[in-house]
Amino acid sequence: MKRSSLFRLIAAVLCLLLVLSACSNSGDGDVSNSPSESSNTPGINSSDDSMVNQDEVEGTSIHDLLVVAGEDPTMINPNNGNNDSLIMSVYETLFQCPYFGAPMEPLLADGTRGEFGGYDHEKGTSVYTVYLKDYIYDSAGNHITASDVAFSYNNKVAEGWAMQIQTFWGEDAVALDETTVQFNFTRELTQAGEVEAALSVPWIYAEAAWNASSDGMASEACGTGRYRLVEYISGNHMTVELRDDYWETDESKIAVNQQAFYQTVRMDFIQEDSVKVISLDKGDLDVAKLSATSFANYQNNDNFKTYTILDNRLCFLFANCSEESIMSDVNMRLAVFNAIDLDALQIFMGEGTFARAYSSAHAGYELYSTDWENWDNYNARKNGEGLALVDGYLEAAGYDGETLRLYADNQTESVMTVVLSQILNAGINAELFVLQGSALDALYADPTQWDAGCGMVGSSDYICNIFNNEKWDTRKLNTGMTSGFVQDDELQAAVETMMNADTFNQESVEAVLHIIYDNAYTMCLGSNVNNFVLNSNIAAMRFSSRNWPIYTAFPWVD
Amino acid sequence: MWRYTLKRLIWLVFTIIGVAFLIFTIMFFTPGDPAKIILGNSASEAEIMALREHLGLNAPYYVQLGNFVYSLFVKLDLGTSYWTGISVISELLNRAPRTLMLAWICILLNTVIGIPLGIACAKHQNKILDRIVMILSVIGASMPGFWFALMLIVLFAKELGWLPVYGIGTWKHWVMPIIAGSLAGLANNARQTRSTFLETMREDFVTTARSKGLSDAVVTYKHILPNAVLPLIGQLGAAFSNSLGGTVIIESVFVFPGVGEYMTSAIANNDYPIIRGGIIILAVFAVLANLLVDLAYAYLDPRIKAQYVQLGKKRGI
Repeated sequence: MKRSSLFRLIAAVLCLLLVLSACSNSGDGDVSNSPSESSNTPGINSSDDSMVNQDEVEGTSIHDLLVVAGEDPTMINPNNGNNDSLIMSVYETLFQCPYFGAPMEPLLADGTRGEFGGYDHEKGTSVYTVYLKDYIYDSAGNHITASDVAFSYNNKVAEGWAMQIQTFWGEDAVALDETTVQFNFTRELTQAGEVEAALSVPWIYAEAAWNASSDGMASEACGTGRYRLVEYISGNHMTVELRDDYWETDESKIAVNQQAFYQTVRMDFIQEDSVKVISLDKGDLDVAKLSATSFANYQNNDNFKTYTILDNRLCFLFANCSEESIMSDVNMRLAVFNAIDLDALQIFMGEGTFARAYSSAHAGYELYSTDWENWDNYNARKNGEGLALVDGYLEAAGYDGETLRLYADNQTESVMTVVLSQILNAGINAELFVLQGSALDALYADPTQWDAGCGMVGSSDYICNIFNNEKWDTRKLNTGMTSGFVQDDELQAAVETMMNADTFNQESVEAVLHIIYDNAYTMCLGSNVNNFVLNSNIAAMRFSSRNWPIYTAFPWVD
Repeated sequence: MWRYTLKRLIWLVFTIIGVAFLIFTIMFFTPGDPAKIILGNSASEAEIMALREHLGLNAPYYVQLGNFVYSLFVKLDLGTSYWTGISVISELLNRAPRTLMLAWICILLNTVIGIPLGIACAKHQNKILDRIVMILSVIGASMPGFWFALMLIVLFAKELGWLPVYGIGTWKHWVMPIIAGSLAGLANNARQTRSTFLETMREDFVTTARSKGLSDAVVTYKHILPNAVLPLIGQLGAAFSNSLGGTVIIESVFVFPGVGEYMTSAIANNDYPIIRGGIIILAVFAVLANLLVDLAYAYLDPRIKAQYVQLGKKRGI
């Protein structure tokens, strides 16, 4: 064989090897664009519910080290208690809801005092008086008193991190004595979830710890929790260690989700799915959240346990109901929403990645009713039944081929790509634009620029709080309308009734849903599926009230 | 030359002023609200306004610009991250050494291995060594760095168990990131060196040198190499100026907390102080890199040095 021919042959073989190796690469981090091909693909009902429980587990022990894969919280400032990293085990709150949808119970508050088990409140007033346990100490040895509680709240507001309490925050909190702190809000907390937002969300820390910190506790942490932060390298890992001086020594008073089973827990900020898979297989990782494709390989693996849970956040499609948009006509909105086949959407997104919605929530929320899945509306239809109705709605709307302008952000781009194809298939001209979330806000404020948008919305507690935002509640914006330019007095009244803690029930929720579906204001597409792979020694998973995993409380059984 | 160098360093200050003004203005008028991104979609207008007030985002353009310029040039402070609350300078000082060490080791390897390989290929043109190295260079240059990094992990961490999968801490954590970061540069250097070396080898002065009876080593390293390596200096300069932000993929795969990952997150979160501070630092690096390249050119090529000197004399410097 001539030398030139030999070299050509070698080059061809090398190219072929490259192509084959690229094709065989699997387990990439982004599977949301391809349907799952594995026969072991988990469906949304494949999780073992015994993995998540609030019961005591027998035979547990304190294990030396647990390594989990997670996302870099980037901020560990205690004023922003809004991340799902290990920092949750370092700080505590006055009250807590032990799990998603659970009633509030005292934690730092003294449940033996007060009419409501830790606090007093006279109906019709805006004053809430909270009683504190007198034996609380943080990891630096500071004794936590009512003045520290007041400082924590007042500092949070002063630093601009008021968030959920901003809407009713009035005067500064005041310490009446060592164990009594009084809050005087601008109004009585009558909406569902407001008392929880006020008393079970803000983290408590010592004023002395804040003053001792050189950067406002931005890089240091000092809390009353069972663990202390020992190391945080942004972009790499966070490590917490079990405190041997935790203030609560009576084990019977420690809730299940506060139990500690590890001397040290380290969270590595791994972004790539492949790296997580290799680390799990090597034994370098004990817990990881994986994409559906990678997750499928662990489903029948005896060396691991698996669990899937629906994400709290839901993907909504919302219409621009202003006169400047073609979606101002309810028939046009019904046509577009009926063109979307949610079952097909779930298949295209991947059964282990995305779960379709049948209503404006999912079964993970309390008060959700499976009856809603059989209602006669575009959200509950199955197997593309709505497609047959599209032409009729288009005719009623007088549709003459105008192009529908759809918008999505990076999070919802994959879903909307499939939705776009379905809308086009139904005979509606449409175009999809993807913008960064920040640029989208500016665009949505202009009714002439868009027709329908897609965004993620969720609630960390009650189902009613899914609707506690500008897409349905006109009180969130200064315009008197929703972000979809809806000015519907009936909807607003129904939303306000649902939000009221005294009238928040299934009936009031359904009243809101009926109005939404009758007017086709929004459509819930579905939610992401979180797939967890765990070391086989982990006996159960515990989640916070926001459905964030509390790794330190995962029981370990040797 | 020292006057030329001093002049360039003085211009660096004006460059920073220009970059600072430009990047501040661009970020100011870019759509998007950092406060809303931080607080999320469920935040009310009141909550967003409160955080904007705290972050100083409600002040008019000229007030914010004035504060920024004052912080930068008087206090030498790049600001505090909206998200983390940590000083941008302190975080960059934490991350930059790691990123720079990674990038510069890669550049060093690319140079130390790539150039001699290129020379060897040129001297053995069309022979078996040349063919093999060039094929491997094409593969190396076209192989996606992300994929190569993962394959290294599969081989060295998973199958052989010689190296850790990810992270920082020991020298073993650096091996795979360096290999993954060096591959493309090494391949390009080898090909580029071979190409320029072959070109220079055919020049008349090389023929003259050989005809004078000089040894092959003297001809190669004293006559051909200084001329052939000039284009590579420009490439090295570009690699140097990109060294702070060019390793983002490596950092992502190996969980390597560096400047690339820091900047990328900041862009996604509209964290203006980090973006502004990072770009100013990158601009400084770029200017210094260009200066070093020019000085290197002058050192290696007397003709260029003479041009600088003549230009200086004309301008009375």
